Amino acid sequence: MFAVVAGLALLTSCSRPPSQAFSTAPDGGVGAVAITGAGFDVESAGDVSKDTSDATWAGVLATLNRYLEAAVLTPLRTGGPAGDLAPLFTSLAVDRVTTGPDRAALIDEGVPPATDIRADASVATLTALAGSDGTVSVVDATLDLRLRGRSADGPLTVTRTGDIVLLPDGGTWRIDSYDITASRTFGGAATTTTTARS
Amino acid sequence: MLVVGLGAVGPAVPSPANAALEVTKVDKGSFEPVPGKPVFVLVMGQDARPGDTQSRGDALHVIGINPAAGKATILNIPRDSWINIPGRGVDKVNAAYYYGGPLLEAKTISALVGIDISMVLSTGFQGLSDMVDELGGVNVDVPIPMNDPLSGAIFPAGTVRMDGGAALAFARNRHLTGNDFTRTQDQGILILAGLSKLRDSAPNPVNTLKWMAVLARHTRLDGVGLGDLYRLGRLALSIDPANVRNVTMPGTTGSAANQSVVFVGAGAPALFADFRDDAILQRS
Repeated sequence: MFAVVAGLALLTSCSRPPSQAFSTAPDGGVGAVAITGAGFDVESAGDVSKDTSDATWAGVLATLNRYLEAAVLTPLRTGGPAGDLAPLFTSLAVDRVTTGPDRAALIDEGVPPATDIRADASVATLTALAGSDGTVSVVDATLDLRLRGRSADGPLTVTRTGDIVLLPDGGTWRIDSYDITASRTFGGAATTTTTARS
Repeated sequence: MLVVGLGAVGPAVPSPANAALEVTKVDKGSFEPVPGKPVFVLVMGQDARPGDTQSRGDALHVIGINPAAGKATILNIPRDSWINIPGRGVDKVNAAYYYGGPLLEAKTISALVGIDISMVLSTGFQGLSDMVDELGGVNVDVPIPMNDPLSGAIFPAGTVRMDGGAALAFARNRHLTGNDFTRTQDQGILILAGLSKLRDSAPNPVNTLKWMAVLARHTRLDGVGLGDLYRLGRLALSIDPANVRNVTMPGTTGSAANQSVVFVGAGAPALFADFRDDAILQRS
């Protein structure tokens, strides 16, 4: 009956209008690749204050950009391993990403070092779930990340699309699950695509 | 639907008749399924009607989910099963809710099956009917023709589109060969129908969040955060209903303490052992 119960929302789902156009700019200065918010929505059983929603968007985007830097840009720039990912994931997800089967879909390792990395798209549409007390408990980020650069072997492109779900954990937002597809093309080789779902 | 022989003593458990769903977390801390380990959830239908102040577990189903394998099992427990209730002695399994609410019901069934139940989800007659209606109905695979005017379960065999009232009648019809064993098996079929409908309707995390928000408005949460509920929902929706087994605890009917009861069958221990290690039944 859980499955039946869970369908309550399908007909009566209540969404709120975006609180405001909101974005955070990570460190890196002009021209830096960063994920910005493309849309903001709150699905709520109660009232969510503007302060709460703004803090949520800022916290989630901060985590997404830390992920972008550690898992995507660092290995792309260096051709080496990713940065420290453990603080960005919940305990439920961290092993699957750092040492488990989802590493290839979440981390851009194994490609030659690239320069002049630019984003054709780097946005996330955020949807938050809040309880009757106005506390935000879950945020989904629908990611559209399309990067290109140059390597010694020629043009390089990386795309990553799908959903990343974050939960508040230890005073920050951490990635708890995902449904992500990553595609990489470099050195004139065929595109490789990997998908991970948790 | 009342359990006979309970007597007038015992704590009154708040009736969920006016709540679509009540979710109770059994242990402390956040809900963190351990990778590679099965998750067990108790789903209950209660016999409370609007205005009732007490209720009992009228339909009892343990859902074991194996995320790694993408499989699950619905283990149906006949409500009249005559078993030990911790701290209370031998009684019908559904009396546990009356005595100690969802936590004692979970503890009782956990001890019976040899598993750790993480959460209890319970609903009442009206809640079930309303939820099916809000889903827009469900397609139920009726195993045999039904013609029971008492419950209103009058269906041909085969796939039947049911609204809330029809689904409730289907779930309550016990005038069948096999009586309560068949009824509880049918309730498992209804759970599968609901899962199928939801899988079609909530294919991605955003959809899941949308129905979670409405769920939260109709649900009483006890020790459960929305994050926990989200994790459980995604876990359940990750399972293809085609990979879910629906089985009922074997038993024999009899009499005890002047009540009609179900004694745990000889095949039950082996079934429980098969179920508890990975939530997947190896035997046919």
